[in-house]
Amino acid sequence: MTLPIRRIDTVWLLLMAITIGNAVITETVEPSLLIIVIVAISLAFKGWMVVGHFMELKNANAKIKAWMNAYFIVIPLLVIIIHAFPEWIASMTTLR
Amino acid sequence: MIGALTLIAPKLSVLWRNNRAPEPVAGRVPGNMAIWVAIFSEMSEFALMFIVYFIAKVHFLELFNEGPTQLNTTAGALNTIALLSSSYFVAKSVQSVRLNEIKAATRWLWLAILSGCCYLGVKYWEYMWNIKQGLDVDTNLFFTLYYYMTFNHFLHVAWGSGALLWGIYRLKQGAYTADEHEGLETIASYWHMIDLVWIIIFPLLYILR
Repeated sequence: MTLPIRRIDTVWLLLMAITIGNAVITETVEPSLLIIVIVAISLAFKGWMVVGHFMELKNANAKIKAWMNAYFIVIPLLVIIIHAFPEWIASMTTLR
Repeated sequence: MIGALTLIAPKLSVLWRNNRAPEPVAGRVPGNMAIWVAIFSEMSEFALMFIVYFIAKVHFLELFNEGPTQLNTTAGALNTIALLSSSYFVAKSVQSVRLNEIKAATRWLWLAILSGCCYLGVKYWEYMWNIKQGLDVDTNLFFTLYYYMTFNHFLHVAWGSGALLWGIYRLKQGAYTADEHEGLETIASYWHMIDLVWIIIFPLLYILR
């Protein structure tokens, strides 16, 4: 069995492009929920790429892979939630 | 210039010469189990910081929307590129060891350390730049969290680079071979974790506003 090394070359170039793209978008476009969602999805994608290809968890131990991938589902979801419903989260986290 | 390229080209060609490496056994744990305990502990610690950031942000929306606009996005993006590249170089090093290309593996690790040092240099410059703009740890809550998170991460990059240096020392000693390189995988897994944390910190502090 062999693993194509070129795959991680492609992943690296893709990650570079996404990083530069995100920085350019946020510097040139007015902030909006759509931009937040795009950034959150990019964050999740970059995380999964590093976890799967650089960390080599794609075909590794299922539990470790699941926890690592879950991290990059929960955090981007939280990013979207706190930007979509800030008042609600603020009321939920206020000590009365 | 042409002479320099002639000298460098054969060395670089060694790095890209092979395009196939043995695939690791499915279901295995990369590196040793102890490093995964450390990785999950560190990621839990950073998760706590992210939760504090989220809660602080919803309570001080204006402050946290204005904060990223005061930071140097170019420095943040450069550091993201440096860390993603270093992670890639480390992955290439592990693949080179699997092909028993020890010299190439060592060169990839040196490139990873160089990228780590670029990160540390840019971050130091950024801190100095911030201070010149009057942005320090006491400026406001956003900057308190910014310095706490980024300096914590800075320390991880610094000692992670030390671990990569140790990897080079072990490679030179002949401790890692195509059949036995668990130690290098352990260092690599930890380094990738450092990269993963920055992948989250960058949008939180520099991008989202």
